[in-house]
Amino acid sequence: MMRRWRIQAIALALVCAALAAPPGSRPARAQSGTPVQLWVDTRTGQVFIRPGAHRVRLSMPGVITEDQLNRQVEEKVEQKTQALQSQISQQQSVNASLAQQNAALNQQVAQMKPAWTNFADNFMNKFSLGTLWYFDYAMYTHPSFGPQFLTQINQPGPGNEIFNSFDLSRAYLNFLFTPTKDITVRVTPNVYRAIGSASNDKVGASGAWGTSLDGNLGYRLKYSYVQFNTLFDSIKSMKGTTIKLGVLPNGWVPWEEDLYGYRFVNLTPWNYYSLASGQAGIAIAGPIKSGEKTYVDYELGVYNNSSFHAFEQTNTKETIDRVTIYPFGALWRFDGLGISGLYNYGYGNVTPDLANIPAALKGPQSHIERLAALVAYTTETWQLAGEFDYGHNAFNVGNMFSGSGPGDAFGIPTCVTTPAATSEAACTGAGGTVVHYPGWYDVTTLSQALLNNGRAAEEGFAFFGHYHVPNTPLTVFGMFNWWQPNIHVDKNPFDFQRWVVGVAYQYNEYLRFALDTQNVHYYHSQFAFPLAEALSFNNKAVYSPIAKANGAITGPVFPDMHSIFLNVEFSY
Amino acid sequence: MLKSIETGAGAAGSLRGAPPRRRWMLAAGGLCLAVLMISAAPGLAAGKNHNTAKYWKGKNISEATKKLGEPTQMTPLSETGGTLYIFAHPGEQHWVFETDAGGKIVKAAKVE
Repeated sequence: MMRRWRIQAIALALVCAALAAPPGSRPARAQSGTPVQLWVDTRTGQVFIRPGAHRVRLSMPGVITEDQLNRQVEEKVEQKTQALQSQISQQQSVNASLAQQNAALNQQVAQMKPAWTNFADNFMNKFSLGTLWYFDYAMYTHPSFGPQFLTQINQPGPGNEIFNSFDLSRAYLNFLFTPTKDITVRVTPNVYRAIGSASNDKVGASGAWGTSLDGNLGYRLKYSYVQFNTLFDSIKSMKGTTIKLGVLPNGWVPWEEDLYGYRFVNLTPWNYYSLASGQAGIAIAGPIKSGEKTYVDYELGVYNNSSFHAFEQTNTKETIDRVTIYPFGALWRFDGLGISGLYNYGYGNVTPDLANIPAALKGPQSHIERLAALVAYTTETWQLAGEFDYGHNAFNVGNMFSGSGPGDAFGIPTCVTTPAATSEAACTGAGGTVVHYPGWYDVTTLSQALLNNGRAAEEGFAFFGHYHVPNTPLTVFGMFNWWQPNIHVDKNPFDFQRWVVGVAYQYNEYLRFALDTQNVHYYHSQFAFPLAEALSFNNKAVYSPIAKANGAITGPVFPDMHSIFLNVEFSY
Repeated sequence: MLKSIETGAGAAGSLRGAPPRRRWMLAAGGLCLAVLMISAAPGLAAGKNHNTAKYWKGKNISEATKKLGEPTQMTPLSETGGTLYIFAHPGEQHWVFETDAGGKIVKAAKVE
C-alpha cells in the first residue's frame, strides 16, 4: 500500500515537473516526436529513464502519446468525413430524383399542346400543296406560222430568224384538301399570257394612261373541282373509282400528257391540234382491277363545249370519253401494253340563234368530232407509242395559227393597196382599192375556206416514246406527228409534219431539264392552189384581183419552222 | 423414416423427369411458337421491310430517294396533281411510285 502511494506521488511529481517545464523545452520535445517514457522498478519503486530488469513502463493516467492523439484525431476526422460523405450521397440521390422528376415534368409540359395546335396538325394532314413549273429558252432559227409549241408561247412569223425568248409556260399551284377520305377538293390556278392591245384610258381633259394589259402574265383558274373518292369502294374490282364535278382535266389530254411524260417540252397530239385539257363538267373515272393489276382504265365525262378559259354559249354539251385496256394487266399506271381509244363529240361554242343562221363558213357553228386510237407499250426504262387521229371540224384557223399567223387571220391586213374606184375587190374586203401586193390575204382566205367550212375532216398519225440511257440520268425522247387538216382537199398546202427530238436530264426528284429541237415541216413543195378548187370549199370567198387574174393562189405553203429549246421543269 | 421430397418435386416439373424424346418435342414446339409470334409482328411483316410496296405507302418521296437514289424518270401527273416516279437503276430493284400533290406516296409498285 505504501509502495503504491509512493509510485503515485512520484508520478504526480513528474507530471508537475513536466507541466512546469519552461515553454521552450516542450516544442523541442514535440518536434522530436518522441514522448518521455519512464520505467519503474516494481521492487523498489524507483523510476528510470531506460527499461531494465523488473522495470515496467510507467503509465501515467491523462497523458497520451502523439500517435494516440493523431489516431484519435484521424478517427474523428474520418467519422466526420464519412458523415459528410453520407450527407453528400443522400443529397446527390435527392438531386438525381429531383432532376428526373423535372425532366418528366418538362416532357409532360412539352407534350401538352393547345387545342388549336392539334386542330392545325389535323388540318395540315388533310391539306397538300404542290407546284408545277415550266420554263424555257427558245431560239427559232426559222420561225414561221403554225400552232403553239407550248401554251403561252408565241413566236413571230417568217423573216424573223434567230428570234429567241425566255418563256414561262406553266406555274401551277396545286391545292388539294381532303377533309375526309371520301372527298377531295382541288384548286389549281395557272399562269397565262395576256395578248391583245386594250385601248388606252383618257384621264382628265388632256391626259391619258397607256394600257398595261398586253403581254402580262396573269393567273387564272385551270382546275377546280370536288372529287368523290369512295362511292364504289364496296365493289372490290372498282375500288379507286372517282366522280369529279367542276372545272376538270378531261379524260384524254391530261392522261396522254402523263403517258408521254414530256409535256414540259411539247404538247401531245390532240392538245397541239385543238382539244383543251380542261372543261367544266362532270366525269367518272376509275380502274377495273383483278387482284393487284388493272385491266381497264377509263374516264367518261360530259362537259361544256367551251374550254376552261371561255364562256359557254351553246345549248348543247360535249362528251369526252377514254377507255384504256391493259390485256396483260398493269401493275402501275401505264405498265405494259395499253390500247386506248378516245371519243369526243361536241359543238362549236356559239349561241343557238347564231348556230342556226345560214353561213358559208359553218366551221365555228358545226359539230366537232375527235377520235383517237393509241397503242402504247411502256416499261420503267422505255416506251413506244403509235396513235391514229381522226376529226371533223376539229382544226380551224384559230388552231392553225395559235402560235403565230398572218395578220389577215386576225383582222390586220397585210396587203398593200392604193385607193381607187376601179377595183372589183380588195384584200381588205372593201371595194374601191387596187391591190399591188396581196400579202397573206389570199392564203388566209384559203385557210378559212379549207379549215372552217363546216365539212372539214382531219386525219393524222403520231408516234412518240423515250429510252432511258442506263447508268445515267439521261433519257432520249421524241415525238412525230403527221397532220392533214382537211383530207377532202386534193393537195392541202397546210398539211404538215411536226417532229420533236431531245434528251432529258433528271437532276433530282424535283427538277428536270431537256435540250431539244422542235420543228414544223410543211412538206408540200410550193405550188399555186387552183382558185376554182378554193371556191368549191367556199364560193362566197373574195380573193384578190391578182389571184383572180392568175386563176390560182400563189405561194400558199408556209415556210418550215425550226427551233431549239432548253426546257426546265420543277415539280414539288 | 424421412424421405426426400426432391424426387417428387422433380417429377412434378416439366422436364426433369421427362424422357429425352418428349423434351425435344417440347423444345421444338416452343421454338416454333416463338418464331410464329415474331413473324406475326406487324412491324416485321411489312412495316420495316423496304422491299414491300406497303412499306412505302404514306412515306414522302424524299425518303425513297434517300434509299433508292435519284429517280430515273419523273412525270408530273396533270390528272391528279401528283407525280409518277420511276427508279430503274441497272442491277437494282426497280420501283414505281405515285405521289399526291404534297409528295406523299399513294401508290407503290415493285417491278419484277
